[in-house]
Amino acid sequence: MEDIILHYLRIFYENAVFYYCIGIFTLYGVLVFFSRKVIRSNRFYTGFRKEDTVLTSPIAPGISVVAPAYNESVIIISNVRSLLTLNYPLFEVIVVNDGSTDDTLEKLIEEFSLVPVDFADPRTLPSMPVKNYYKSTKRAYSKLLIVDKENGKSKADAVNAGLNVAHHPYFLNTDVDSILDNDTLIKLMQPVLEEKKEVIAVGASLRIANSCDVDSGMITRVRPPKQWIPAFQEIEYIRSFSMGKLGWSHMNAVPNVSGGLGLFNKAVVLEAGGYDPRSYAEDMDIIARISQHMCDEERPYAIRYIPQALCWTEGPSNIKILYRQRVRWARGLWQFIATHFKRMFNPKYKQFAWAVLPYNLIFELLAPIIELTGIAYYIYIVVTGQINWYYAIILLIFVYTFSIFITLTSLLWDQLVFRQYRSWKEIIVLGARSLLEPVLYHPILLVSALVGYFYQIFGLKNTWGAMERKGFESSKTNDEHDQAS
Amino acid sequence: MMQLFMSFPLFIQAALIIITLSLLGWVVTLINLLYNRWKGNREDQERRDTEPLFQELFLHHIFLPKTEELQPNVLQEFKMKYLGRKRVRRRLVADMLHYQQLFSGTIGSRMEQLYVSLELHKDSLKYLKSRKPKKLLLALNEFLNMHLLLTDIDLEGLQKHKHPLVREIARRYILKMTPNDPFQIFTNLDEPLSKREQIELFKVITEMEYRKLPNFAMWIQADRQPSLISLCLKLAVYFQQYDSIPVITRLLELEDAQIRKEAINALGKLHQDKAERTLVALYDHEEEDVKIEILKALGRINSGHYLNLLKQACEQEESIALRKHAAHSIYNHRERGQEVWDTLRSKEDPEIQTVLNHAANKLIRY
Repeated sequence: MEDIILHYLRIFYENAVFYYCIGIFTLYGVLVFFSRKVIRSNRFYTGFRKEDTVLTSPIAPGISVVAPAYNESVIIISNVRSLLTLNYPLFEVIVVNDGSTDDTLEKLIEEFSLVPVDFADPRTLPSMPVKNYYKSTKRAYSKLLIVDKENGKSKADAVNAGLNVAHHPYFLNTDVDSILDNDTLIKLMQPVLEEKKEVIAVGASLRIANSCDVDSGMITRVRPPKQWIPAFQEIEYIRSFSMGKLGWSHMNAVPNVSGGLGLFNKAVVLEAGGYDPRSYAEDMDIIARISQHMCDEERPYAIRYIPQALCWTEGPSNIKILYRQRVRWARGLWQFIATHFKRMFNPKYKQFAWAVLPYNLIFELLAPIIELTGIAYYIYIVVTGQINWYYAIILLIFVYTFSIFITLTSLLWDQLVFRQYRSWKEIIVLGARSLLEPVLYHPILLVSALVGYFYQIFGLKNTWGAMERKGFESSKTNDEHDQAS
Repeated sequence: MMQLFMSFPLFIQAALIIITLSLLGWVVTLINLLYNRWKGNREDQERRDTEPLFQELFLHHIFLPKTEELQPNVLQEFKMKYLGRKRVRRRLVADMLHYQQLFSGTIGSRMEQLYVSLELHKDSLKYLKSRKPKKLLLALNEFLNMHLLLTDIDLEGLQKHKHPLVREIARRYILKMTPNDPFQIFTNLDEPLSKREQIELFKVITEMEYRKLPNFAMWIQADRQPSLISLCLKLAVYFQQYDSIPVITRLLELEDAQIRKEAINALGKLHQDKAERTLVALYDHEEEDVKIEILKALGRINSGHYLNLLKQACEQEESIALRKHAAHSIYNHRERGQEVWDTLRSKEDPEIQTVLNHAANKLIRY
C-alpha cells in the first residue's frame, strides 16, 4: 500500500514539475513575442519624433529628480553634476542626504556653494526628520536642492523626504550612485507624452557599469563587465529588461519599476501614500500600491517600460555582496506577496490581480522552492537507484537549452535597440558566458533566495553591510587596459 | 529513429521537441545577432562613404553657394552619379531633414529647393499611395518638414486614418501647410490630443504669422475635448487674447477639476482682476490643488483687493502648501502687500516665519 502511494506521489510530483516547466517556458515565449512588439513599436515611433520640439517647449511637464545619497562621498560631486546637465527643459534635482556619516554633505556644500535655507516643507509623506535644506548661491546650480535628513535605514524613507519638497508633476526616482544617460528624462517621458491613457510610471533598462568608461559622471564607452559576477548580472539584466519587463509592459502588467530608475506621476504616488519605508522591495510595493489606487479610483492607467538602456549602476563584484543583495530581494518578494496576497484574482484590480500577483507567486516566489525540492528528489532517486539516467539527462538538457535560448533572444532584442557594445568580441564573450550562467551563477541566486525566505518567515535580522563601491574606472584607465592587452 | 522517439513517454517526447526547437532557436538567434551586427556595420560604412559627398553638396549649394540660384546641371550630374540607389537617396533626405530642423530662413528654403531639384520627393509621393502607415508617415513627415504643399491628397481622409500617428501628423500638416482654414482640425477634432501632440501643435501655432491666428476662445467650450481646451487655454495666454476671458470664466463651472485648475491658471496669467471675485467665491469650496491655483492667480493679478484672503490663508490654512502659495502671492504684491507682510512678520508662529522666509528667499524658485 505504502509503495503504491509513493509510486503515485512520485508520478504526481514528476508531472507537476514538468508542467510547471512547460508553464514557465510558455510564459517566457509569450514575453519574448510581446517584447519584440514593444521594441518594434518603440523604434517606429522614435523614427518620427523630434525630441527638439519637447526640449524647447514652454509647455512640457516638469520633472523632479529625486536622488537619495548615503555615504557617497567618492562619487557625489561628479554624479550630481551629471544629474544637473540632464537634457530636459524643466526639471529640478533633489539630493537627499540620508544621514551620511562620511563627508558627502560637506563636499556638496563646498562644491555647489550651498547655504542653509528655511524651506516650507509640507511633510505630506512620513519620513525621518529633516535637519536642513540647502540651496546654491550660484545661479548655475539653481535647480539643485539638498535635503539633509536623519538616516531612515531605507531608500523609501529618503525618497519620501524628497517627494515632500518636489515641485513638478512627475518625478524620477534614481540613485545618486547610478549614471544616467543624458537623455534619460526626455526618453522616459515618451510614453507619458504619447499615450492618451494616464501613464503613472515608466521604467527603462538598467545596466552594469563596472567596466564601462566613465568621465565626469558620464558613460563614454559601454563595455560588458570583465569580471564574472558582474558579467552574469549584465546577462540577467538584459534578460529581465529586454525580454521580461518589455513583455509585461505590453500587457500593462509591469511587476516593478526598478528603484534605480523610474519615472512616476507624483500626484498618484502621493495619493497612494508614498513609499513604504518598512518594505524590503519598495520598488515592487510602490507599483502595487499605485496600481491598486488607480483601480480603487476606477481610473484607467498604464505602467510602461521603454527598451532603451538609460541607467548604469555598479553591480556587486563578488559573491558575498551579491548574496547579501539577493537575500534582501528575496525577503522583499516574500513580503510583497504576503502584503498583497488578499488581492489575488480580485477582478477589481485587473492585471495586478490576474497577472502580476500570480506570476510573482508562482514563477518567482515558488521557483526556488520547487527547484530545491527538485534537487532533493534527484538526490533521493540517485541514492535509491531509481533514477533513469537517460531521461534525467534529457530533462536537464531540456531546461538548459530553453533557458539559453531565452537569454540569447534577449541579447538579440537588446542589440536590435542599441548596438552599444562596440566590438563583435564583446557580444560573443557575453553570449559565451551566458552558457555558463545556469551552472555558475544561478546556484548563488537559488541559495540566497532560500535564505531570504527563511529569514523573512522567521523574522530574523540579517546584517546588510554597505555596498562596497569601487567606483567607476576612468576612460583613460580602460584605454590603457585595451592597449596593454 | 521515429520508433525510438515514439517509445518514449509523453513528457520525454515533449522535452525532446522543445530541445530541438531551442537549439534551432539558438542557431537562428545567433545568425540574427551576427546579421544585424553586420547590417549595422554596413550601414555605418555606407554612411561614412556618403557623408563627405553630402557635406560637399550642402556646402556648395546651401551654406556657401557660389550662385544665388541652384545649378541644375551640377545637381543633375550629382543625381545621376550618386543617387541611383534608393538607400542613398533616403540617407540624403534624412540628412536634409536634420539640417532643416537646425536652420530656417534662407538656408531652410534653399534646402527645400535642393530637395525638389534632386527630385527626392518622388519616392515619398509614391509612399503617399501606400497602405502601410510607416510609408505614409515617412512621406507626410518629409513633406511637412520640407514645406511641400500637396494638392492632390485626401487630407480629410488622413485625419480619419486608423493609425493614430498618421492622424496626428496629418493634422499637423494641415495646420502648417494648408492656406485655407487650417484650424478646421480643431473644429473637426473628435479624439483627445496626446500631450506630445499638444506640444507639437503649440510649436506650430506659436511660429505662425500673427494674422493667421484665430480667437482660441472658439474652442474653449465645455463640449470640446478637454485636451483641446487645455491647449487653447495655453494659446490664449501665450497670445494674450483677452477676448477669451468670458469663456474661460465659464469653465470654472465645470465639474472637471483639472480644467478648472487650468482655467484659473490662465486667468491669473492674463492678469484678470475682473475674475478675482469669482475666484475668491470659489476658494472655500475647492479642493487643495484648485485652491493653490486660486492663490497663485491672486498673486499674479496683483490687484491688492484680496490681500486679506491671502493673509487669512497664510495664517489659518492647515496645509503648508496653501500657506506657502498664499505667502508667495502676498510677496508678489510688493509695496501693496507690504503692510500685510509686515503684520505676518510680527507673528510669533515659527511655521508662519518659515513660510514667509521660504516665499521671500530668491534662491528658492518654487
